[in-house]
Amino acid sequence: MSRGEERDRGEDRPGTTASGGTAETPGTAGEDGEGATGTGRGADRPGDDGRDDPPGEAETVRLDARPSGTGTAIAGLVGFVAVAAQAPGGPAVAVGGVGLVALVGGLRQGARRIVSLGVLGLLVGVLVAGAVGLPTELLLVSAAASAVAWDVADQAVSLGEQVGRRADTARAEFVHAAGSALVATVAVAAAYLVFRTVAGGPVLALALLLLGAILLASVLRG
Amino acid sequence: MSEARGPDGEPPPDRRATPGETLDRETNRWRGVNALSLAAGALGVLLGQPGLLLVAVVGVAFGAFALATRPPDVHVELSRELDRTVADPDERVRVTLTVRNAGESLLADLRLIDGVPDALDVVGGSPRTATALRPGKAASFSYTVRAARGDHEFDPVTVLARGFSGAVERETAVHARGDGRLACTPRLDVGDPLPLRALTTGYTGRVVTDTGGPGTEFHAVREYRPGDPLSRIDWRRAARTGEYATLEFRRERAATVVLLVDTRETAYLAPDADAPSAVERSVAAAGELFTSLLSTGDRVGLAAFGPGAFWLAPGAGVGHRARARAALATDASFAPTPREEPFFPGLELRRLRRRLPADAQVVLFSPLCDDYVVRAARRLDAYGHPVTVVSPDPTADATAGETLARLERQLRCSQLREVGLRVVDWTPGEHLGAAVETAGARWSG
Repeated sequence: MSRGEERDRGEDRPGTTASGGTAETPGTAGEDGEGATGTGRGADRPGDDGRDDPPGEAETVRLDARPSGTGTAIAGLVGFVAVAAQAPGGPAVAVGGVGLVALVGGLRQGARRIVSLGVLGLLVGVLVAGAVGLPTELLLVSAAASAVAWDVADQAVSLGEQVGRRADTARAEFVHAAGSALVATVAVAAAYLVFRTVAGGPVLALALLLLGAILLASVLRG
Repeated sequence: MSEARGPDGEPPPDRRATPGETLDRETNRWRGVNALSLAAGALGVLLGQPGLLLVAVVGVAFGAFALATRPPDVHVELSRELDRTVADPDERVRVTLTVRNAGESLLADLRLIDGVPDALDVVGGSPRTATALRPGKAASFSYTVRAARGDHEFDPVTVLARGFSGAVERETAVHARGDGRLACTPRLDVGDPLPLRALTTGYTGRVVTDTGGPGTEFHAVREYRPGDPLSRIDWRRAARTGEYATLEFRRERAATVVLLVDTRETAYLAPDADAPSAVERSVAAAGELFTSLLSTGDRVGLAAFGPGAFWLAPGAGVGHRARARAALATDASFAPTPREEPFFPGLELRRLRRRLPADAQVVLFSPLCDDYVVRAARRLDAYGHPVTVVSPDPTADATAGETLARLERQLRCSQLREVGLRVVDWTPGEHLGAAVETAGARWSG
């Protein structure tokens, strides 16, 4: 029987697992009459055990693997900026709004898949807004804010899994959000600068700019 | 680091770093950003919207940023401080962990998971934290554990670090300096006495035997033999009939008892996640019984039937009691979590037989959740060491499997009773004295 490889060290007691005792053990005597497994000495994949128990005064504290309130708040705020920038884009804001709701809802549940779908909603909103001719400045702000929202939300989810909601993670989240915002600002500023320089020029110039960026990216990959 | 690689040369996600080792894992959190950017760019070209092309540039910039960043260099110094390193059971102990960035670069996303010993429960705060540290800066966090019996050693702290982009996660483990151990030695309380089986030593004690002699409980009347003490001659009968007769009382003798605790891995069972395991209850009961038997003049020994095979030969006295207390609290054989060592029950049983004094009886503490321990108990009994089994019940009945396990255990209890062993079935929450009283009602002599 696998012996508690995933036990979250210290945070939980030997658990109950009737047969085949996987994670937290020593379990109840199992179906096979051999009893269940022993307490595994768990190497600890932070976050594999997302049991969700309310803390009691003397109760054992377990890992609450949902993202922290800080991360949810930052991601929600940045996502709101992304949707707000799409506002003049008509139908775009509807798609983006659904994405924002999914993003915040997914973060509250700690469901990475829903968070990803939410960000995808924001991005589709950006595409729709671009297609209906949203002003370039607003479009860039919306796109950059979507990217930052994804960055912050994904970090919040991984912090939830590895460190848990109970731990103090605010500092790491603020620093990360600041770094992400800086990258977004630089990227937007550079792109916008080039756009103004070639203002009125053909779309081809911008396509070449994009090609240049991709070449740069592939060089970095090598 | 050559072993245990995943398909992409990545360490498998469930593998933990050992101190001094670093594991790098791609988080793949920016996967698809370039594809999405190109889609936006293509849409822009199709519709003739320059804005979408700029959006693509921003996206590619994020993708390039993610590719460009390297995993951070993790040089951290950790120190752990406990507000006390020797605690009583259930006492709250505050653990403070301080982390200092001893490297040259900023650690933007540093996650720490303290290696709390398995047997300790965290009851306040979290043994995990995430922070960001500039070079030379330190941060600390604290949490509270509930002390439990044993000598606990903290494991190394797991450190996970990511750069700003978070594209690669570096995992390592670091030993914390400072306090690394928490010792907790329960006091031995005097418990209720357990009726012993009729195998005694030559010393006077409290076990009432079936042989006549001096004592308090009437046994028989026999013919007077010269030399019988005057106090035991039945003077009434002598006055009535003129014949002398001698009263016999049941002799009261001391016993030699070895308390044998089943500490095999199969004995670490509990009815639910937060309940104490059968071994934990066995050890507590053995402690109570040890002192109560010593106080009634019996000679008591202590042994573990499990890895480590602890053995304390029967004895008496204050020093003996102290040795037993220390062993039950901190000896690795009675650890609150199973030891990862091979155990050969057959060999161990033979060795135990050689060690047991000829007049020793055995009190076996076992949850009786496998068949081997039943055979072992019967064998010891057959070799002339009467066995009393004190069995903490670890079974539950929430699922069909659990109910089956409970029935099987009850069957094992019956089997042992049928062949004449005494079994105390001790349900969780019940006082041991009450369980002994219930079981004792059916015992004779």
